Amino acid sequence: MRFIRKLFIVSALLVIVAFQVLPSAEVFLFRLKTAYEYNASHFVGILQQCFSNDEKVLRSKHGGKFDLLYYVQNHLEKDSLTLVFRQNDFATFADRKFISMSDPRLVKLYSAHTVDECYKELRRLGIDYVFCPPYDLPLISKTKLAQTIADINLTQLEYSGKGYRLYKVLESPKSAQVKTVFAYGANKGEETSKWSVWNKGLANSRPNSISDPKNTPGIYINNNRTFSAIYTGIGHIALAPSRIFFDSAVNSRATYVLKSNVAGYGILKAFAVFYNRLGEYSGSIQLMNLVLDSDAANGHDIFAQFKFPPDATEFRILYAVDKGGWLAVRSLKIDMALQVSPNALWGVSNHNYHDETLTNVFDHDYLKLISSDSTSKTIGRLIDDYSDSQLMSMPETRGKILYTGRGNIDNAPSSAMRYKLVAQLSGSGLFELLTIHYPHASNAESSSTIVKSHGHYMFPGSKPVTMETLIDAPTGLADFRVAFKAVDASRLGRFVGDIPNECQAVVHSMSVFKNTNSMKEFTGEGTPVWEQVFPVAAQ
Amino acid sequence: MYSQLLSLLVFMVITFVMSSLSVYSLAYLAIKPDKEDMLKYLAISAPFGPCLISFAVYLLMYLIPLQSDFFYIAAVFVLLSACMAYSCLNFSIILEPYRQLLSIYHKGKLSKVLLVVLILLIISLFIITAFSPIFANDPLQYFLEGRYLYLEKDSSLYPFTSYLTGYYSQTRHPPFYSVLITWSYFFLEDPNITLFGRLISPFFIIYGALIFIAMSGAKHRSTALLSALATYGTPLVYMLVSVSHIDVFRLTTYLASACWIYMVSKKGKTSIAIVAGVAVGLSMRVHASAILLFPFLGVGYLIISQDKLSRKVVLSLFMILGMLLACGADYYRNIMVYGDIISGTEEVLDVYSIEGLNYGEYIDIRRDIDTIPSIILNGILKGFTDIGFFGFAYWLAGISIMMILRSRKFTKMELIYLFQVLLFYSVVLISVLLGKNFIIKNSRYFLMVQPFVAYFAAVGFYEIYKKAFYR
Repeated sequence: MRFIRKLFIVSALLVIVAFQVLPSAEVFLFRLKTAYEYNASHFVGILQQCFSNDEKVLRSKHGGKFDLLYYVQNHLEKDSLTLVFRQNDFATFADRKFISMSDPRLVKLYSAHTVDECYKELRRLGIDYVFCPPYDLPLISKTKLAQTIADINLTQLEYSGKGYRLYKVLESPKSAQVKTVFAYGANKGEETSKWSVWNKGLANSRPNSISDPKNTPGIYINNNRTFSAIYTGIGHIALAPSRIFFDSAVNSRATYVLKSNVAGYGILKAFAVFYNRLGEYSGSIQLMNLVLDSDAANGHDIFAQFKFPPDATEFRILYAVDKGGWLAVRSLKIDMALQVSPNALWGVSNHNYHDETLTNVFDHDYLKLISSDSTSKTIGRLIDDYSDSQLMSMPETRGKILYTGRGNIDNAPSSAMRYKLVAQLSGSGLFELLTIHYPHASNAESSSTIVKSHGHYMFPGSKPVTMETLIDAPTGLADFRVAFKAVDASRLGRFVGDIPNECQAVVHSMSVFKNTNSMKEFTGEGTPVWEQVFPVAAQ
Repeated sequence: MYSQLLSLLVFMVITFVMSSLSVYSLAYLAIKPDKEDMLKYLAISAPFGPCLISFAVYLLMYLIPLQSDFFYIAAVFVLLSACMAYSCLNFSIILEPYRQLLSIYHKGKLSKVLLVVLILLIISLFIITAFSPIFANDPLQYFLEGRYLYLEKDSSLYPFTSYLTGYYSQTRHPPFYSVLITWSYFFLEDPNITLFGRLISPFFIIYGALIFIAMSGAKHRSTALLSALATYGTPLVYMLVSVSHIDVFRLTTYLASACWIYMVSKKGKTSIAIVAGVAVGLSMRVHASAILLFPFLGVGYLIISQDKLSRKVVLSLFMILGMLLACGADYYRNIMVYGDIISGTEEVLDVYSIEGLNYGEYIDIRRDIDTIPSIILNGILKGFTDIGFFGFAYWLAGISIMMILRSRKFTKMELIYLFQVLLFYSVVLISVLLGKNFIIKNSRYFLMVQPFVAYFAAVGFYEIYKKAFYR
């Protein structure tokens, strides 16, 4: 008995000690590991590391904010003035002039009643850039400043990384041409079919109420201290929405603007979730981390500007409410504006742009030329990031190749081999869209049949829906077929939900068009001219 | 590189050894304590050494600005030497406490193990702070202000408005930490290297451990070491020291001030009261939250001490006098210029008075203290529920207080510690009932009473340990 008592007491004491020691030990080991990794990869002496204030140690572990400050340090004009909402980071790591968010000179800016007034005040103070953190602050979201910096006519998104954003305030307002790619407004009776609900651990489902108990219009979700989210489009969050409700594929040179009216209480997190060419989840951009207080129960406007990385093909917008609260989305509008901004880099911590399909064919990473103007700047910067000071003139130098023209390297640069496929489909289950390309009969040296995948999609249900997609055909292969292949849903692993294992589909109609207009090779500008090649018109 | 290492050594010797001995000499001169109290006075004077340096440099840069680095180093060195002169001549006043310290630990297995663990804790923190640069937001602010004060060598510029590239001070409390960092830059001459400033925080753990050891004496040495481990090994405290935050200074000087009040109530001499007041005043210069220190300690003293009421009142007045000597000028300036004693929070700035901002509710929702159950569990009872930050200290302390109540009476020192905790929580309760969230919104403010809670937790831990191994 005495032994058991002793054992019990000792284990209790050990548990208490463990809770005290383990968090501290974790901090110690993590910091030691960071310091060691930096030392090992940069070959500095131990003493030298102690005596340095090198933010490169921080960049390697914290990314995001420090990547942005590195960009500010290296690319912003020497006499630029930035409005900062995180003063201490900016003052220490970036050597540029700034105005702190609590400077009393800004009282007039924060009290502005209209967006025009706010913008004029920004210009009067001489502010060139605005540095925003990923979380919201009342000074931004409760004043007209939020709307002003998200207005695409007044600002331009210069850099974004892990939610930290740098906006350039334009010297004079311009009128950007925008195209609406998604619109939902809670008119009474508007279908909830544009949205799906995601509760953690449970499969996605359609929202079954269009209004909350208080009869607030809009898509409503309630949260009882568990994660709860709604997102645009049908189908699983892990899969692309199959362009059914979106007007066009993502253009990575465009800036997207979100305007939304929500009502609710709690902490709202909004994300733009994007998918790659194969229709698989590729990443997400945090648009906001906003506090909805009691004023927001009657409606609150939110605005955001964002850009997608080069490998994004489709996207969804996801709203999540956290830690107890509720949310009703009343309207959502996504506009797209084409702005060719040479400095617009999407901050990726591995600084690596590569085309997914190429890795199936070759073993190297390719750096794709993405903008034509200020070409030398682009090359220079990319080389800086890789610490490689020579221009790469030979292919297969250190596994990285820079090549001209748009499109995959296994296709000829002329877009005469670009096709557009339009089909009307209905059914259920998961399928993969394939094209099978056959060699020309007289070309004896060409490779044999190539099968290309164009992604996984879900059949949309019993009502036929139009699907549109672009296909680039490999050079030297003359003929191709379009194929739909049924896919076993269990290969998706943990996101399997209510995707039926059986695939049943009907193709109501299908047409294939070929682009006969040769587009400008370097920039890809020019309008395609589509000529129908399937079904061939009767002679 | 090696000359910089030499500077580091000189910096550490002056800042931590010379200053502590100077403060102890001055205290000894004023008080002339008995032999057995010498270690205690050394321990509770030591943390105020760097405080004295910070105060002296601040005054020097205010009254005699724009001199060279060497001038300020030399001036402080002369000042400290003058204070230390007495103890250098009578070397026994340093030797005696040192001998007492060694005699405490020459036997006992558990205390040797705990001592080794404590030393490992301190070494681990020195390693982290040596190798990692500063990245947390508040420490960056202190280091920036230290850097700017070093560039200008004129402390009348503080607080900064639109300085250099546009820096605007968000808080206006007396610049203790920033001036210490400026002092460290005098030795380094390159304000972009933060190494010397980073190494200041782990030293205060040594001071804190010394206080616990000295106040508990030889009989309770294990409890003392456990208290030190419990206080500075609290996950939140460990993390804050590793990012070079200001809280460890607050913790240690608050603990020292509480022990000073205990010494006043034990001996009741006027000289002790004045020195205690000076100590409290220097603590109040560390951080604006220490404004709460004086009423706490005052009330605790009045209740605990067993002297006649008139004597107690007289001694309290002397304490107030000492306190005003040390920090009166700073707070007077705050009131004159800003109309507000605590100008340490953001809400006093102009931009936060814009209508419709609703900043209070924003904080409530962000920190999860918006509903009444949240206010109670996440706000007031944070010490009990937030185990990731505070560990089991509060739970153990509760158990041990019940054990003490059952088996024996509280000692005077324990009573003072208990009163600090109870008074702090009554202030928290009052602030919540008044609808203000400025204390409960941040776990760091609760660290003010962590040494006292950790002491009780250590007592409880040791009693439970004895039950397992010694009966």
